[in-house]
Amino acid sequence: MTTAPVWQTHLASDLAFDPQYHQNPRAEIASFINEPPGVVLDIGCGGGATGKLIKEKFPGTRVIGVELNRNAADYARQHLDDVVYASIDEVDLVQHVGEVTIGTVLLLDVLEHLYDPWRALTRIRTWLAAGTRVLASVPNIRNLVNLQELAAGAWEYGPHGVLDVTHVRFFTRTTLRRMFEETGYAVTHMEPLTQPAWVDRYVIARRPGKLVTKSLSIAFRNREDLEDLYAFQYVIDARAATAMQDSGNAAPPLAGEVSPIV
Amino acid sequence: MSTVVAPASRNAPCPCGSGRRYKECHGAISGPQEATVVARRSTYRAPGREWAHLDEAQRDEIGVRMEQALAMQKAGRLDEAAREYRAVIAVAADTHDARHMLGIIELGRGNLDEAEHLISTAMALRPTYAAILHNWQLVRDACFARARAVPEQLAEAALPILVDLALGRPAARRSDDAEAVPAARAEPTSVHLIGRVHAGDHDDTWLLRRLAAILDPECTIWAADADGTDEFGARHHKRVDAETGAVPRGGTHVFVGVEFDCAAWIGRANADRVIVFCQSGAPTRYLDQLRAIASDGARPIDLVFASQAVAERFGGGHTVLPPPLDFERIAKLSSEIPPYDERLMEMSPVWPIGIVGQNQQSVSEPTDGDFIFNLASITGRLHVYDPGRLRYLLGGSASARFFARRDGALEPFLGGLACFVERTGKWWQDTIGRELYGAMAFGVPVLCPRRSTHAECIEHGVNGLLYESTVEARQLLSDLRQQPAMAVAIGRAGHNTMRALLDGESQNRNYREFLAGTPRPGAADAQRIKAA
Repeated sequence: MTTAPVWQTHLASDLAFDPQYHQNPRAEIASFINEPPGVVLDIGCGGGATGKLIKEKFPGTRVIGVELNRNAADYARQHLDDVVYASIDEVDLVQHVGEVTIGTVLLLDVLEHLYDPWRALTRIRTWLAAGTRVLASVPNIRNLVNLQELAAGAWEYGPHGVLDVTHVRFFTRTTLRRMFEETGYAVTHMEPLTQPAWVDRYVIARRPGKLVTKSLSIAFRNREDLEDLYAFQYVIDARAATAMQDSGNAAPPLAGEVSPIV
Repeated sequence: MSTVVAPASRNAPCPCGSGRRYKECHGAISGPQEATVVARRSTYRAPGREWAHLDEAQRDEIGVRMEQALAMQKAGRLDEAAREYRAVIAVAADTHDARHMLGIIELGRGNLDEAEHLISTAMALRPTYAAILHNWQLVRDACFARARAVPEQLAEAALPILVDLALGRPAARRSDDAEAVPAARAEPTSVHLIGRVHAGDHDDTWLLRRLAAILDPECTIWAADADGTDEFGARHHKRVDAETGAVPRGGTHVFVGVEFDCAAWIGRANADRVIVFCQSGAPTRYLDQLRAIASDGARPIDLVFASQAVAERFGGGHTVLPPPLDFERIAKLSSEIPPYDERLMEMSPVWPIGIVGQNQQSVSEPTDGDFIFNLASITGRLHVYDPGRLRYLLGGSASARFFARRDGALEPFLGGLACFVERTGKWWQDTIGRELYGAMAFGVPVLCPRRSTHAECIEHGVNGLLYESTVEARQLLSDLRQQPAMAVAIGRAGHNTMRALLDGESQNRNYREFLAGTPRPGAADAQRIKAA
């Protein structure tokens, strides 16, 4: 039996709703929310499972979802207060949900799917009051499994994971932080999400400050560096900065209408 | 006629209690007492042909058992649920849900072989069910982790022997060697602290900082890291390049967490004396290094442990120094917030229990998930410091709050607790005890496992509580909650223990004396800990 290649099955323009892909409640993301989060804007909400979880954890929380997949958006309407079926580049929040003060923005596994995540972050920033919390999760391309595969000559796209075939941008811990800082956010914390057992399968020897895989020997400087090799994803905890940081290469004016939400 | 449900075999005794076989009593074919069709009591039915060999009455009976078992499992009554599942499997071996759910219970209990068998057979029955596949993956991950852990278990028994071999002499004779202190020890020499400066809040780095603060300005710090080292100031700080860089000549070389080829370093430095702080957990990591350091036999080596319990497992005569927790800083911080009894009133009715999620020394899966779930259910509030994988387990729970491990995050965590529960795995994975000792210093009552290496500074019911089983821990916690006066008294006694153990001046003196060469036999120190 042969399986159809992933580009045939997972790059179709009209994606079906896949419960395992779109309906995956992210308990570990909810763990970063320890206080009532205010109005939650869940961009790329999928089937709304994580929003539902947050509503259960903090009853009364209003969650607004934005989702590009119509089937997933329809499904999310069962769980969330408002769901806007639109892309992040086109969505006009005020038109859809009226003026509302956003307390927390979720960008879970979204930015890596965008051709221009910098512009998207800049656009989102205009909707937010200074200090508004942004929680994002983004895959870590420096994952040891990925490094080993690449060293062995493989860069194999799949239906999900770090090399999900629908990913178009790749980041490391450093470049991820820089993207947020350049687009108007202050990063307060970055936490690696690790799957030690999974990565351990690729490690054939450990020496002080060094990991050895089949094709690679990698030095790490400290615990943080080691965790970086084990992380398949980072959770970025950021706040909308008070003023755009003077990075010298401010984003160009946005095309189309921008609706600030007060 | 009362309802009688048919047993599995028609030859079994009749459930009506007549003493006759079922087939001769209520099950008699065409007899006047033929079993009536029973009213349906359960809605659960296994899919496909799993129950094809059973009649409707039997299915109803098993359906009731399954529903009860699922309810028990949900309520955390795992023993009872497991019994019910086994009963179901005995009658209908192909019930995939029973196998799957029992497998999950066994997985939680750490019975991996049993769990693997149950879940794999459930998967064979229902190969397309995603939930079974997911849990099968969990079992495989756990089996894989166990396969890796085996050498560690072997190491446990072999450790003292290995250390003796590494040090090239019977460790038990160490304490008698005080007379034969080499000349280099007699006069104070320069002290070099060598370690890694990790970003963030890390046990090794924390110890290095504390030692530097105690010894300043008598020591030089050699940090094996490119970043994060400026905080010590340029005067005392140098960058280590173990292979090619400059090394200091002579003097006392103190290693805090050995993670590079220090044998070459020591050889080139011609060190007078070598001290290795094995305090920060997982001292097995050091064995290769210790063996390498000791291979030339040219200089004395001191191993320092944070507790008598660990020191003894490494053989006799090693040095025990309590971790240099900055008690004064904590005492100052805790005086800035209301005392524990007032904090307790402010928290009320919430009664947060604190735990540390991730053991820094081994990035390991939590194997005590049931216990942690139970903790969360006792008082409805669990605070988790450095949660690690517990984010997945508890993230969606309304009762859990999470505190990422970073500089300055420990104190707010400790200040918000009604009680702190220490967890422990393998003794060599016990951490330096900073969170436990910190909680005691904050006047927060603590629960500590009896087998933890930190239990030696706790007297049960006086300055803390010791528990054997998780059931006992639950009981102690509800007692503590119902008796705030006891909680306050235990917290206060714990605070006093830490004040005595970690008194800043005597702590500094102990460390200075030790580093200057005055031998400190471990046993006496243990007495001191007990007395405190």
